[in-house]
Amino acid sequence: MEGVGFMLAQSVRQQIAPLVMVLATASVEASCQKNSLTFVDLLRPFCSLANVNVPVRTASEQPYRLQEFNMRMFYASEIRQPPEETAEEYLLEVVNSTSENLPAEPEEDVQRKNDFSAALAAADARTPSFQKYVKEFMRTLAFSEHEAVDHPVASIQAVSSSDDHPISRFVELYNAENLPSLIEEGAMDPKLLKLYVLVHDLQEGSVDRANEILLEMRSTFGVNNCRILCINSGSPEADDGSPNSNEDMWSSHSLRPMTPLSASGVDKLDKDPSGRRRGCFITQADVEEVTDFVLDIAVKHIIPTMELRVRTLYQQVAATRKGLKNQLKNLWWRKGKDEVPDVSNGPQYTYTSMESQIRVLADYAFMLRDYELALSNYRLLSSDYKMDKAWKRYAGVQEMIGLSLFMLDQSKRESELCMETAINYYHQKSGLSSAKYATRASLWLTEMHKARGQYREAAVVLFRSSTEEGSLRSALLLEQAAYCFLRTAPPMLRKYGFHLVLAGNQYSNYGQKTLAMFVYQCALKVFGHQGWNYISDHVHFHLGRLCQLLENNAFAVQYFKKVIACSHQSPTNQAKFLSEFLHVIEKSDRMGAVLDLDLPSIDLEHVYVHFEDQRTYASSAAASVPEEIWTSVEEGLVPAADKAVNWLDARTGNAKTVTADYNICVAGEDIGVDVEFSNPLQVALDVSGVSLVCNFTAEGSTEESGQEFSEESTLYTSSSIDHVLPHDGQPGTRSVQDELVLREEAFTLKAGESQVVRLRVKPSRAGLLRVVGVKWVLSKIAHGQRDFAVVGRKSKSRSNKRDEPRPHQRLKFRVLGHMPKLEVSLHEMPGRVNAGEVRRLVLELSNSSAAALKSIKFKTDHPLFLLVGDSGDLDQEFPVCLEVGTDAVRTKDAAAAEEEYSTSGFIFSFPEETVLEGGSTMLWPLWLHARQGGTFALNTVIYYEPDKLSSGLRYRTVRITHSLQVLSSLRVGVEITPSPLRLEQFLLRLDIENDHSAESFWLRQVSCAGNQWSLASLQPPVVENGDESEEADVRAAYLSASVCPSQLLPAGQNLSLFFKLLNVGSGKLTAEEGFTSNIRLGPPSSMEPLIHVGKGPLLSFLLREKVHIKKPELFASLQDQVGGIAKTDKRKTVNTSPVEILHEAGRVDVMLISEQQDGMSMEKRISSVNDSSRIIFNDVCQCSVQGSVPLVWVLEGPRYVKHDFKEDPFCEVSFTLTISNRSNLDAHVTVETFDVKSMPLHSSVSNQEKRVGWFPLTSSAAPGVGESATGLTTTESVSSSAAAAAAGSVSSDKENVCGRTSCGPYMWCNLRSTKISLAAGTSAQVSLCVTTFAPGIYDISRYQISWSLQDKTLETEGSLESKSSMISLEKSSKSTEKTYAAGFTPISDELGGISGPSSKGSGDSARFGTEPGHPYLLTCISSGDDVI
Amino acid sequence: MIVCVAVVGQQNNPLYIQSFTNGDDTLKFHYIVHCSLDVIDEKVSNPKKLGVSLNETFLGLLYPTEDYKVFGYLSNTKIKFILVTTDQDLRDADVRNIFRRFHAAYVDAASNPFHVPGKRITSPAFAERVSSIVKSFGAAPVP
Repeated sequence: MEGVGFMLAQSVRQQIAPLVMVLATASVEASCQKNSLTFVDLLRPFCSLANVNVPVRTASEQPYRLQEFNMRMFYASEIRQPPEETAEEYLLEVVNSTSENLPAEPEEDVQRKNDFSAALAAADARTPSFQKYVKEFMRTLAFSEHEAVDHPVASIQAVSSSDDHPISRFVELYNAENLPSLIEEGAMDPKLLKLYVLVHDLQEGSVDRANEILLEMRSTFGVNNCRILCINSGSPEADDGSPNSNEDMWSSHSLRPMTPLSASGVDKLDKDPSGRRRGCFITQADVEEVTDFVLDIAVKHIIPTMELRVRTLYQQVAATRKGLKNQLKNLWWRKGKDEVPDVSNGPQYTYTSMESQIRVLADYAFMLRDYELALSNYRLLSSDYKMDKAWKRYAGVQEMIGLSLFMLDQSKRESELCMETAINYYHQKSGLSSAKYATRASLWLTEMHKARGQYREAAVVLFRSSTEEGSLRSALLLEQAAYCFLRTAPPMLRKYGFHLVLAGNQYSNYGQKTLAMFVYQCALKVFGHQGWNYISDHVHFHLGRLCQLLENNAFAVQYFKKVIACSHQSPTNQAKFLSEFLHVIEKSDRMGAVLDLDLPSIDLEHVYVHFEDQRTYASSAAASVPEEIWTSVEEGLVPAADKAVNWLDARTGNAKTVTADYNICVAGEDIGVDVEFSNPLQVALDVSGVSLVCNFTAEGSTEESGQEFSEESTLYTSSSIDHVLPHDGQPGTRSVQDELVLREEAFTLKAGESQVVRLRVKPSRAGLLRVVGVKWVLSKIAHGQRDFAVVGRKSKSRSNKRDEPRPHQRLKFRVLGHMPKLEVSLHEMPGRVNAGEVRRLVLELSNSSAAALKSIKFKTDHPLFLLVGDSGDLDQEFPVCLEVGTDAVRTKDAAAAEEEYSTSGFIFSFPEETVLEGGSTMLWPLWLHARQGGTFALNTVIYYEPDKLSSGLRYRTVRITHSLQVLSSLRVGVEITPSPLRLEQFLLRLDIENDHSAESFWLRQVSCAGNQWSLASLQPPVVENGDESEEADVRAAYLSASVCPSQLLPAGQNLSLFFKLLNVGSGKLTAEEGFTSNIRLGPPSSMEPLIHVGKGPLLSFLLREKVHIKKPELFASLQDQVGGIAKTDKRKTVNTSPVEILHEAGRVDVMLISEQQDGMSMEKRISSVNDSSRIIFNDVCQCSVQGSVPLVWVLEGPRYVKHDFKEDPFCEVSFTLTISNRSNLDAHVTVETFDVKSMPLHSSVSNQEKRVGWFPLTSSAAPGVGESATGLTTTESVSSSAAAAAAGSVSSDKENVCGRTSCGPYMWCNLRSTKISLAAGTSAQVSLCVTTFAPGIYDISRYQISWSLQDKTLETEGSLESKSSMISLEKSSKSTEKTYAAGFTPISDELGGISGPSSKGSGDSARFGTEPGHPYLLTCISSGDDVI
Repeated sequence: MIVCVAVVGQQNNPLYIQSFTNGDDTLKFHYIVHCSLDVIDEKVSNPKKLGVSLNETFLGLLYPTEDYKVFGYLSNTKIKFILVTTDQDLRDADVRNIFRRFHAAYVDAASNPFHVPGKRITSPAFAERVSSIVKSFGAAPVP
């Protein structure tokens, strides 16, 4: 046997050793007490006798030698089993004493690699205390009645030499009342070897008197049994001879009395009141004397006595039990006891009984290390006890068999089996009282397993016994089981952890909080950081609880902190953890301490920084618009240099490197950081006091030491939480509160909710600001803080391109001094309007800062939608300001405006003198005209500069965004056809369709803008000429075909209106009239004022639209010349050839103004006209006057001819055919005249006319002719009454005249066919002559005009043009893309579809054409009628 | 009846652990599974001693507790599959079959390009499949 096995054997030998009973008088104790020792304690260190060499013979006379020997000394009063409670209390004290020297501090951050060794070290550290416990535990189990191991072998009676009558004292000592109860009960043999010792205290006097007494004793008790023991030869004052090391000799061996001691008692034992150390009177000589004394007793008395006893008993046993006869007898004799009830302890055996004798024999043999003999006797005994069903004794014997086998080091299996049997029988058969013995056997078994390296089995045994135990011991056993798992190969760390957790649980159940803490902490090392979150939560939670119970709240907080963010736990657990955590924080004195909390969880890596450098935002929506859009809007508005080069670049290179990744912000303005808080729990969290943690260094200190600052800041972030506390007084943060205004936010996070919170900080001075992290208060108790992840420059990538953090990720700011800041709000901005609606908005510019600002500019990306009005626009009510007023109309110079638009790109500069002082507010009108259906984001930028140029930014911008939904409302289409009768007249058809789903609209006014064109209503035929009064006009308008009976256009309905469009000539009109003409659409009674389209916002919108429409065409050579009428004279940038001037008149702008009414009734409309009427302004720009026909011609000549046919049968009438080329191409025109027969078949001339073309002037036919003539002449506004009169006057002679003609009613006489070249826009006249032969009404329409627009100049130019137009189209599309980025769709020709075919298309379709002549009636009257 | 199923990764970190009981005994099963990893380690470190052949992925009964039996299975990539059942007499073949199906399910889940190897399996499809395997096992008559 070696190693651990040897250790165990040693331990067994010490544990199971002969017991010596000690009886001492009070004066002996007094002498010993001088050394703070009891008599037994004094002797005890010397009871382990090494290096003795005692010859012993076995029962069978086999000699062997004992190399070492142990004895146990106990006072007679101690030889009894203590009451259970006392024992437990005693053991508890043992545990307490061991737990005192535990490391109470939780060790943080133990490296994983060292875990195993650390755990082993912890296990090793705990082993001695456990061994001590085991020893004490076994001691409490000693002196049981079922074993003889603890029966005293001898008794020592000690009497002091200072006692009176020493001899009689000896006798008195061995008195029944002093003896152990077991002897009285008869379980123990009272006949003991008696040894008489006279203890002499050398302090009391010389040895002489003692010697006298000794002599007396020897004569009384026999020579051999008497001894003298002299102690206290030294003195504490002069302890030169006494070795100091002796002090430990007693301490390690002293056994506390089993009675639980009060605290004072413990003190008395541990420390003598006089302060003397133990054994201070004991000298080396004394030690030697005691050693000799004990050795003498052992060798000369105890061993021989035991040997003798073994031999006698053996012979007895052999006589009664050996041999066949005895066995049979035994069997028979035992049978008689079968009726004995199955009691746990079996029958009472006295010391005289055979069984007890055998037990004593076996135990003695065991103690004398004659294990063979012991084993055989134990086995003999076990069968007896088994038969007697004395299970406790049986188990005890089995236990000893196991030990004997172990000591013999043979048959491992059997020894383990015996132990198992012992454990089982202790448990099952012998009742609760012996459960402890089972534990003892388990401990033995464990030790045996351990000795053989079977740690796993040992652990199993320990675990099993711990489950049987219901006391603190189970915790100890579990802990030991855990350590066993640690020692297995391979180490079973997880089981180790698990058993530690179980042990911890038991420890805390039995109130051993320190020990529980210790084991939980050990366990934590196993479970941490592996994702076993339920387990680690469990351990952390219990650790937190324990810390809390141990009043160690700071650690409790640390532990609970790790538990609270447990999303995987059930809601009840989550709530429990959280409330415990908060409770602990409340209790802890570090209430305000800031913790690195995980709750609520914060996305530290993705924060969005909102700051305003030169770019400011009017709303958060504006801030969220991508930067690219703003850049495109700002194009041309902000100085370009500032974009490319940071203003900091102008500084020295040194400063640049330091501040390169700093954002710029302005003192006194908020910096917002969007942080996402999310609640992982199912419990609502109350988060308050959320604010940023910032580090601010005021300007000046950083100027010269920027590098130092950055170092400081890194140091700052790496430092612990405590240092970041603003009140910590660290340099740099000293005056943070003065310099920074931190706004605190509070919110509640529902279960599983995430919330993005904008946290703000406002620096009040210039300097460097660094946002470090965020702090908050959870449930108004726990202060938490987290640092943001530093999104720094990534290390150089392979492509050598630095991955700069984006500006909104940077948390470092360079704070500039105060700058003016403009705050912009747009009042009355609707979210939804109808298309075409005109609204007046109010732009409020307020300077919130102290400094003044100037040079305000305005630019929007939807210039067609939003228009800056004149400052005077605000003075009047809307929509009155739009109406034709009395005030002087300030006609805008349209061409100049267009010039401005095209060059400045729709940038509106506020008047130069506009300086907005700090704190002041300015209102400015804006006009909104929703031109087109759809949803739009109106992005607007307002630019301004500080009045006084400081070191800061040169300019700033405000970005405003609005979303606008435009519903489609009225759709307006215009078609203009040339009048076939007059060159200057056109017929305008206005198609209005109400696209709106619900709303009805009142049509109010149609206007036409253009200095060449005026709009007139088509008069009804019944109007009296000459009545020029306005009322009549109104009535005429009402009755005319231009106006429908009701001006209300309900949803989904269409309406067509007809107007006459007059060319008023290219001459300029007076300024008062403007270049507009308006037709009021209301009923005649309506006195609704006209809306003036020639001024104010409507004009501006119109102009803008025209510019916009023109824009794509700017590049399309000829086509772009067909511009608005507005630029007739003033255009400088474009070509002004005569051809084009002529063609500018080809376009006209038509506007429909309508109102949307909330109610249907007239009254309501009138009453609410000021508030709720919404003016809708639909404009159709640049309608082509040119119809489908590029050429317009008019035959002009006399209508009535009087001719005397008698005189001259041929009546010649001259006509002039005026042909005007309305196209933009040169034309070749061929004019052909036909006679009747050669009328082209495809002609649209009616059959009647084809056949005859002449109407006789009969009275009967006259009405019919008159009617037809009326119908034909209506358009020419020729009075039909005259025609009718004429017809009536020439009613005779027609038939014969007709009959005479063979070739037709009339003949062309001067021209058969002619060809003319007509340049674009020009007109030519062709003279025609007709000869008639009879009076009548002639239709002079037998001519045909063919044209061809293909001339040679155009062929070459046209091909070139088509190429260039293609290129230019690409260009233009590019240019629009560049100018209008996403969010704005340039208005294409969608409206063109309604407004008629585009000029180019019409030109193409009518490139070749042939048209017959227009009907023209000539009345020929014979002047010689009255003669005939 | 299978009461708990676990997939444990190379670093002995739980990839997936799901109990199939009604009570709130997640913690208990976590402990059981965690402890059984020790046994797996033991079996893997000295396979000869414990009679596990080298090519066998099925590790057999890991350890019996009072109420449960714990079975283990080790993939080639050192992914551990652990099964806790209440059935006291189970045929190895059945258990082996179950494990094979679990393994297939895991392979499919791990093949998901969005699965990060070594991290928890969050795929609901995997959970669904596992629970169907568990249910089918409970339903199948044990001869």
